[in-house]
Amino acid sequence: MSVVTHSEKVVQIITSSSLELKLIDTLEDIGIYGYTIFNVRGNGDSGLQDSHIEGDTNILIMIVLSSESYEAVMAALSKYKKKGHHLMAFSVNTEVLS
Amino acid sequence: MSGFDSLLIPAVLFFALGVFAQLIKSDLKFPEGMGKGISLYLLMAIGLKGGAELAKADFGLAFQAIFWAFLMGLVIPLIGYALLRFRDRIDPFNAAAITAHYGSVSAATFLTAIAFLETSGIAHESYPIIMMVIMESPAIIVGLVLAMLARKKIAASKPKVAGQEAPGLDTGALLKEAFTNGSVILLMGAMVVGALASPDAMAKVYPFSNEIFMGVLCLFLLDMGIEAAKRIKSFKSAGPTLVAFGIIMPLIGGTIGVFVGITLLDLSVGGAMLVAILGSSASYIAVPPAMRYGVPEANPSFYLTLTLGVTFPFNVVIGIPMFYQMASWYSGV
Repeated sequence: MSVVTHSEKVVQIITSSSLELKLIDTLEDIGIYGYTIFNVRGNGDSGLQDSHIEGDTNILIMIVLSSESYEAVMAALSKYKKKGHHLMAFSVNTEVLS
Repeated sequence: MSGFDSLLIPAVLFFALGVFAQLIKSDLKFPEGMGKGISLYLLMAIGLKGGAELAKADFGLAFQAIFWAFLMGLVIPLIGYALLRFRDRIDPFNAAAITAHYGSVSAATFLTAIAFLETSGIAHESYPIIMMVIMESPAIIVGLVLAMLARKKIAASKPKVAGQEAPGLDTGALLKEAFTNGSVILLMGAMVVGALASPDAMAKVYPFSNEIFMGVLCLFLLDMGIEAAKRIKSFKSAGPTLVAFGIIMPLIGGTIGVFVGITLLDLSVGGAMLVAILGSSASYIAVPPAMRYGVPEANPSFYLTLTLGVTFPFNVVIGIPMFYQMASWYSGV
């Protein structure tokens, strides 16, 4: 039995939970309504993110995108970074079950 | 009550236990989300208690308390900003974000101060509770305005690029950040519920809002002790100037609070000490998310280390008994 897949991009964004609603608005403006959000913990240049109080809670937003939407999402995220927001966005190519 | 006795209340001892557990690398930890849940309970309970008390209060004095609380919320962050910017020691964005925390209040420190007074049998007025609600927001506005002015100044000093607008002052977003904050809504809402509900109906809620309150506060301070000790490692990256600010600023804010409580509001020593704690404490629940969004240029590690790792322990262990003594001395009691 052959398995049919198609190529897409997985974008993962690690940022503060205080940006969650704004980022979702931005994604929806681009036409992306599907995403998965995790609460995550860790350490980095924003200090210890322990998910204990609102100010030290980080989230990871995971989105699976076509290559057209990918450009628009990365461009929108880059605007946030230019404003000084602490966010890490990275992507990998992936095969999605059709 | 002597200075040492004031440390022997369960809430402070549980805070010390949390610090100790973290320092010896114990695996004691709270389930995810529990700290946030407990802080919601504490805000709701204090709001209910405060609302019920205020329904019986003198509205003239309540109005004065609101006025001075609002003014303290505006003035304290401006003093903090001037201190941090002295000789350009701290950049304007970090200075704006840090000082906003100091103009706002820490509900946990305030509740520990109430525990101190109640354990010692010292009476206090209920007005400081409404002052706490009022003081949550003005400093957020001050911090956001200071950061916006800094952005404008930086943009003005750079050569203009065609088509690029200077950063403006988004008043709507600013007010939304300050007043729709979850803890402000919960505190304010619980106070309204406490004030509107009939005394008979409130009596049914009494076990929830009063009887288990001190026990839950102990649990919260145990958690905060663990969190505060985790921040000690970040002292090095914050640097000696900021760590010193985390101790000097509460002394200034607390002294202003004693003056407001005794001279301007004519409160008892207990009430004035609570106002001092409002002036000296730094928010670590309401303000950090507002600053993370509103002043993204600032480093969150600095303000969380200062408020949670330096100022909160300082106030719980030293500030509360010290401001009580200061208020006693100033009022001549």
